[in-house]
Amino acid sequence: MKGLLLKDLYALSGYRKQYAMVLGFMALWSVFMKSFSFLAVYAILLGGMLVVTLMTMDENTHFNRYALTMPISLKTMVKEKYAAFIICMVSGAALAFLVELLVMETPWSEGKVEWVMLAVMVTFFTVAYSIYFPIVYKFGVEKARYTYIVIMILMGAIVFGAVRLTGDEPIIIFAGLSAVLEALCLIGMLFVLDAAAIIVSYHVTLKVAKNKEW
Amino acid sequence: MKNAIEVKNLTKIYDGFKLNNISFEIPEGSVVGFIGENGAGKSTTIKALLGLIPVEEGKVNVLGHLIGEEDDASWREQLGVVFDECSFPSELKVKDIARFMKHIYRTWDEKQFENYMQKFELPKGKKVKELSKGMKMKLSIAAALSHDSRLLVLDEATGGLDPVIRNEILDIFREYVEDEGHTVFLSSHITSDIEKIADYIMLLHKGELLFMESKDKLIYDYGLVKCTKEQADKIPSDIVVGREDGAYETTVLISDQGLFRTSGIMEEAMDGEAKPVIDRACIEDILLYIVKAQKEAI
Repeated sequence: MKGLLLKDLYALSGYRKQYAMVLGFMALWSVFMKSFSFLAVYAILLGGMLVVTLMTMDENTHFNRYALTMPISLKTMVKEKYAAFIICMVSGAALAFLVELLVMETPWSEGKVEWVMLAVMVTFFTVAYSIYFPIVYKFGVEKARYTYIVIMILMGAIVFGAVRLTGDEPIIIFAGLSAVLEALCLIGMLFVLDAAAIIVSYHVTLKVAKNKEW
Repeated sequence: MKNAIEVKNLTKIYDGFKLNNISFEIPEGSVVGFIGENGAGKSTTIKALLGLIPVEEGKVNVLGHLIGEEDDASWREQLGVVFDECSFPSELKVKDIARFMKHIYRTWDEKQFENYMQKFELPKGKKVKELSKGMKMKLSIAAALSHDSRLLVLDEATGGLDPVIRNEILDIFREYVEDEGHTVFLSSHITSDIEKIADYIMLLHKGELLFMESKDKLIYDYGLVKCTKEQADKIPSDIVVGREDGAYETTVLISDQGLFRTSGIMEEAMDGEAKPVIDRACIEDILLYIVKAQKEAI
């Protein structure tokens, strides 16, 4: 597992300048837009995109086929990609949090970190990528690209629909709790949802990988 | 003698292709050349050997491990594999490969890898995508030989390389098999490479294993007889593998030079008639005549 994670880390380091440039551009864009939420969301999205980049690189060179001739089990190989995904998402979320912290004192900020918003975005992308990964293993990155768009649109439609349905009414899930406690409970609930999505996705991917011809 | 690979009744079916119930054994310490035309099933066989594809039927045993039933992948420490293309992600630098491979193979020999880097003149600071095809192949071979591999499986690893690089690579394989416990299973279209290095030749044609024979036996027993049509007709049919009738000459591939010489055909040539001539048959001749004869038989 460690060897594969290092391989992915070295492979991604080749793209560090490009990603730094994109993030820099997004930061500039956020300054002009006077809203850093977009940058924070992008940082989380980037976490998932990094893993897709890794999968594309592996697929282009048939690295997975090669890895299965090494002392690496199929289970470890699949598990490693999920570990990389978790690392990338946590890094993306940490970056988003950092952005929120840094802009807290600016005139565009409401003076507080949008914890729940960040957690919702992390869950949004975690669930989306959890649906996407087994499809990538089944059909390959190229063919799965279209399903990625569909998943994102569907997920976006669900969130948008939910917001429209509730209107201006606040969604009360944990009635009777203070705002802080309610936020904590909501974040905890989203965290459980993230974990469940990843676990289910991992098992589905493993099943797909077992029947795959490498 | 122990076998490095044992395959029994291996069957794999694809739409329009069937690897048909093939069985063979690769003795430890040998170099086996695996030949056959495009689409014969060489890569499918290799993938089945490595457990990379599910099969319909058959048992594959590699280095004492039954493929498909093992939970523990640690035995693959002893396996070195080189595919027809470099499998390292193109963004990796050459020096990164040793950095992560040592965490994958317990037996990774950093010094050995370093030696190969120097021997192959591989630039450590370059990315894989910046290397030439020959360099990429050398890198893959260096990686396959830098851990405790007892079996080297190469799928078209020398294809697309120039003769100088191919020769260098074959020298490496020769050095590798100097250790009697080391085995090489090499699939290639380049029959001259196989002829240079192999102890045994396996010929696969349309999913059927036509033969697995010692290279020396093939080269000493098989021969190309150049004669007239009438002389060719007299050659015992059981030693005729294939035949090509030309306007002035007929060439017959025979499987037993000894039997041909004692058949009396050489002496029967009439006055003024040229005597049949026996030329050495190379592996490529054998492959071409067998495949042609198979096509004609259908």
